[in-house]
Amino acid sequence: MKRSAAVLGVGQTRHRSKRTDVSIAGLCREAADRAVLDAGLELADIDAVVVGKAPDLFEGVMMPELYLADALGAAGKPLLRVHTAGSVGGATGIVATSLVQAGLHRRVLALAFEKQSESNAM
Amino acid sequence: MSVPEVAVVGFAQSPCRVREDATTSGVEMLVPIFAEVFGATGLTKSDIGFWCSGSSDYLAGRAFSFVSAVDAIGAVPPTMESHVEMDAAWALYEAWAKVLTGEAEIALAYGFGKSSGAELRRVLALQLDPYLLAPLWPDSVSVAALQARLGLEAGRWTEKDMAEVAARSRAAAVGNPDAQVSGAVAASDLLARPYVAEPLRAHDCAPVGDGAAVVIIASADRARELCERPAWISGFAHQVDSGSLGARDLLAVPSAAGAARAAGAGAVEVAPIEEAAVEEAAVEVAPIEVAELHAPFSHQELLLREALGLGDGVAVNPSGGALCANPMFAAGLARIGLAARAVMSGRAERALGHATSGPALQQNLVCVLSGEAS
Repeated sequence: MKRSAAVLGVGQTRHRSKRTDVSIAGLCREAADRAVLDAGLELADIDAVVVGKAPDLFEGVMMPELYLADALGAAGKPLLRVHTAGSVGGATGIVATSLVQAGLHRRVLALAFEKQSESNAM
Repeated sequence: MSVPEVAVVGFAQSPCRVREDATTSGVEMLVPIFAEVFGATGLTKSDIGFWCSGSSDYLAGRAFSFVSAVDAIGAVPPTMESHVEMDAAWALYEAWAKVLTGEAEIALAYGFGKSSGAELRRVLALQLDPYLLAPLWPDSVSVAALQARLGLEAGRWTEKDMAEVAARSRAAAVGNPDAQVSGAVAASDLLARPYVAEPLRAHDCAPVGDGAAVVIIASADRARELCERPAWISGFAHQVDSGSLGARDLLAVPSAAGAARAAGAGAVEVAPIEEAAVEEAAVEVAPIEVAELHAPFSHQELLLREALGLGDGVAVNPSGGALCANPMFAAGLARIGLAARAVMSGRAERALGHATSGPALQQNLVCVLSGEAS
């Protein structure tokens, strides 16, 4: 019943204490662009997007995936938002993998982020 | 590939009320409905292979708020568990995927929201673009009012049409003890009342109330053991639209129409993977008899009926719908639960549950349930 799933590509942004050169959407798009480039794909080839982020209060945006839908090429596609507290990065990968293993989608973009400099997160 | 058989076998929801006795952790609302759904199915906590919940930190007013809700389950022994910061209808979707992988045979999705904890319409303004829109604090009722105004100007509906949706919903809710608002009222009387955010009056807007919902699903063999007439999930899909209010046509709901198509809500079933759909298509199925739509504003029911292709023969919101009870992050899951209940009770052969999220119907989910396994 369970299908196989593989990692096609990975991407991450440059990590700095404050990324004042990009918006939240710009930061996420940077990682997404790098991942699809690594996979030899384009965002249009992605069937579904899973966003991991915890907690919303770090950026001061409630359910930021709604605002990020355009930047992640998710409009017209399934978009899931995972929040499992400190485990959210790993859990995002697990959910995306499940969607492929379940046979629901072929290519899923899993993206997790923090832009803590948007607030006094700590 | 045919759709592996998974069915809803249990549903419970708490009455939607402003609950002074319930905290933002959800525990006080969840414990009784877990007991109710376990009692009805004969299951216990140890039978659940995967738990998934939906709730919101911003609603609770603190970070990592869903962790407290795990007290309603008990964190020991460790369980396989996940959480979406969305309506729990999407938690059910994640749970469904988990059962499809074979990693769990029985999964439980729950959602809860103490919507009355703060001024909801202002809290929801924080869902908008944080740089360009949210600083202006366009609250959720005003955003919905813009959508309603567009429809009035375009001749898509009248204020009377909207009031008739509300009057019909309230009359239907008389038979639903979990509803927060109900009663016989004439649309003409509703139209005499003042605006909340023109052109919306109080009856056009969902009441603010606290509540929780739980749905249990199971793989085919277990479903037949647990339930005399399981509600088989024949299609389940969701989509999102642009988050930019100025960039999308607020009178079109492409994500709802797309989700309905992908879930096979029309006359033709489709398989989940697109390539397979070509071979699997053209299986004629029974029409949708009951649809529970998550429309927090009266005009949104009119938009959704059209987007989902629901004709006059479909019983829409026999529960009274979200206009009579809209516990945030639970109301969408409750729509699926109520649609499943219509099938499990034998009242419908095929039913549809819908959930929405985000400003002005930005994100939509459709679950189609059937009395017959595919």
